[in-house]
Amino acid sequence: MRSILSIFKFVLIDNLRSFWVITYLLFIAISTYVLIYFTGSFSRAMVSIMNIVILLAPLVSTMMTSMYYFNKTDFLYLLLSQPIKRTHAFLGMYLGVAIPLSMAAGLGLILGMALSMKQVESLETPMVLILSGVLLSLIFSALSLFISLASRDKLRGVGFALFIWLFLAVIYDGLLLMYFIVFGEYPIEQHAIILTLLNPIDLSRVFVMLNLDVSALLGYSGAVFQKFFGNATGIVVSVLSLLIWTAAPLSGILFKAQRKDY
Amino acid sequence: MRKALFIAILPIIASMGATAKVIEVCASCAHQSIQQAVEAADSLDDIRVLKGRYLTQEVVIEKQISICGESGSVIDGGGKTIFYVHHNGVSLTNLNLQNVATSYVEDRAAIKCNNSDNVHFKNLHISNAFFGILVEKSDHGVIEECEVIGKVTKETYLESSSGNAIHLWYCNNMSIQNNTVKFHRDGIYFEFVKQSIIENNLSDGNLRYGLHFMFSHGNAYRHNRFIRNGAGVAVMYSSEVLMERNEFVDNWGESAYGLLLKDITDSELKHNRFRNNTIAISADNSLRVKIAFNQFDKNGYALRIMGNCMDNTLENNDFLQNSFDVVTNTSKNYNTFNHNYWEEYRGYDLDGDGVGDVPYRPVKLFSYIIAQSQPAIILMRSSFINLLDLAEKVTPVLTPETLMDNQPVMRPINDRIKEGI
Repeated sequence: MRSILSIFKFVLIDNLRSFWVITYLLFIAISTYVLIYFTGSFSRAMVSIMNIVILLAPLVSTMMTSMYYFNKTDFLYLLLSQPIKRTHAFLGMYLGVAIPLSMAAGLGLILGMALSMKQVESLETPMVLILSGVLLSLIFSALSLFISLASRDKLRGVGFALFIWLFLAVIYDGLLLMYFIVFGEYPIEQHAIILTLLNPIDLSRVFVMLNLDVSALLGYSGAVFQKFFGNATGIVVSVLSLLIWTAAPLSGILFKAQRKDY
Repeated sequence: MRKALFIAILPIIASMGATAKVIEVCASCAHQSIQQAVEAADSLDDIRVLKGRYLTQEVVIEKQISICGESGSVIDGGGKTIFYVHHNGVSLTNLNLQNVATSYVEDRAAIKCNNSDNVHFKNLHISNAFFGILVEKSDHGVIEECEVIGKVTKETYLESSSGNAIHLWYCNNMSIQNNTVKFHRDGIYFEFVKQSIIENNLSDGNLRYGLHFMFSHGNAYRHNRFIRNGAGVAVMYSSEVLMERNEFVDNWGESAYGLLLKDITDSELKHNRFRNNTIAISADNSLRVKIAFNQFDKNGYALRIMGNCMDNTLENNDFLQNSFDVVTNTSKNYNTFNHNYWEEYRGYDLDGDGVGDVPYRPVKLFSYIIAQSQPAIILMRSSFINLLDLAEKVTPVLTPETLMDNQPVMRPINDRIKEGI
């Protein structure tokens, strides 16, 4: 256990000192502040910030994690030659990368909103945004580390991790739309809910949307979605889904780490 | 000679003075019930209802009298209609009318007025009534400062078992001012009412429509507020309607509209404010309606305009924070959109005249998609959908190509107007 902690501490400090994490935090803070301050309307600013959170946080986490892994292979070899468990080494590494990234996203949002406190009309949407930012960073760091670990070289690792990001952020919605149009005649609200639960980016988006576009969601389908995502079970299931999204690639990392032949 | 004439006229003058006598009603007065007082009264008499509770059922007023209540007086209908007004110039003031039961056979109302011109109802408090004030075939009447509070809530009552607060049928030149109507079926209902003025009323929490009118031409609605009504405001089959400076707020529900325009022609909608409605304006088969200087704020759909609407003009309106600004069901457009402020407009203004240089198309492809398949609404604000919308804006395929604002304004218009007032 101590080995996890010491590796975590080293990687954490390494990352916290990194120019990119600081830049990322400042970028989120400044853009949040600027969007709220200059857009004039709170809900429009929230929509723009949501787009930053659900697109940028996963992208940055994906890139930073796989870059860190591939740039620090020498350090990793050195670590693995020591008498410590492989799982501890990788777990320490994951936490050391993912926690600064999620902190940067979360603190960046909090800082930006605190600076423009006067314009913040409600706390609900900002809370959802901050939680989404933190969880998405954790999820995509884990995914990306798993993919990097599983792939043979840097190019393939980074490329595939990027593809997963693109798939979940954009392509998935396109497929979903096709499904909705093809089966538009059927009552497929339940399917829509399940398919949304399967994608962490969509899940974060839906929670923000439920807060902002309440009045557009008053059709039958909208009512079904609101009923599910608005009540306690829906929220618990959603958070559970996000946790599974973190846990699954994490266990993949641990599984792969033990079997990988360096 | 002159003196003799004076003496001859004297009794007539004296008798004229005697006509305007005041009749008091109370437990210890000569007249203990309002029924007795009305029977005893002559034309032009005043009846004063003193403090106390009076069971009053189906009192028919067939002479020009006025009834005025003292504070603390309560008139209880005991389930039946309280007053039938059948004479011109009747005036009812400061009365507290209660308890008129639902009937499926007759239209029971606190006040039922029939074929009586120049009636004046002022400061009446009507509660727990089936219909509040029901006026038929009467002209030039005034209903002001009344408070009609019904008993319906969405949970306990059906539309069929509740009546309207203020109901007018075949009336002309009426004036409805400063009233508050709540918890009825319709707040204010007009059928075949012409040249009337409706001002400063508050219609709140009614089961169906806050304001509902059919076949009522040439009426003016100003400074009214319509809040939390089950289905908003519905105006149908009317022409030359003027709606100015009204507020339509919080009209929620699956089929709720801030304002439903059905077969409305040659009308004007100006300086109104629509906020937090599911659909702010839904226009169906409406012709030559001028919609100008309105503010649409935080609505689900700001304007749903059907393909059968023609020659309507939308100018100088503000569209702010709506989920969808304009939705339509055709690929053709016969209406004019010009010089509005669209919050989502991303164009530029190089010459700095306050008008954007690039036209704006307010109809989104996504609104088409959800019309095809409702569950797709879960994809709202998705990056993929944004990409599709952008592509459609550049080259419209499914959305009406000509439905666009050629002069989108860069800044909200109606804030400036407010400052000007």
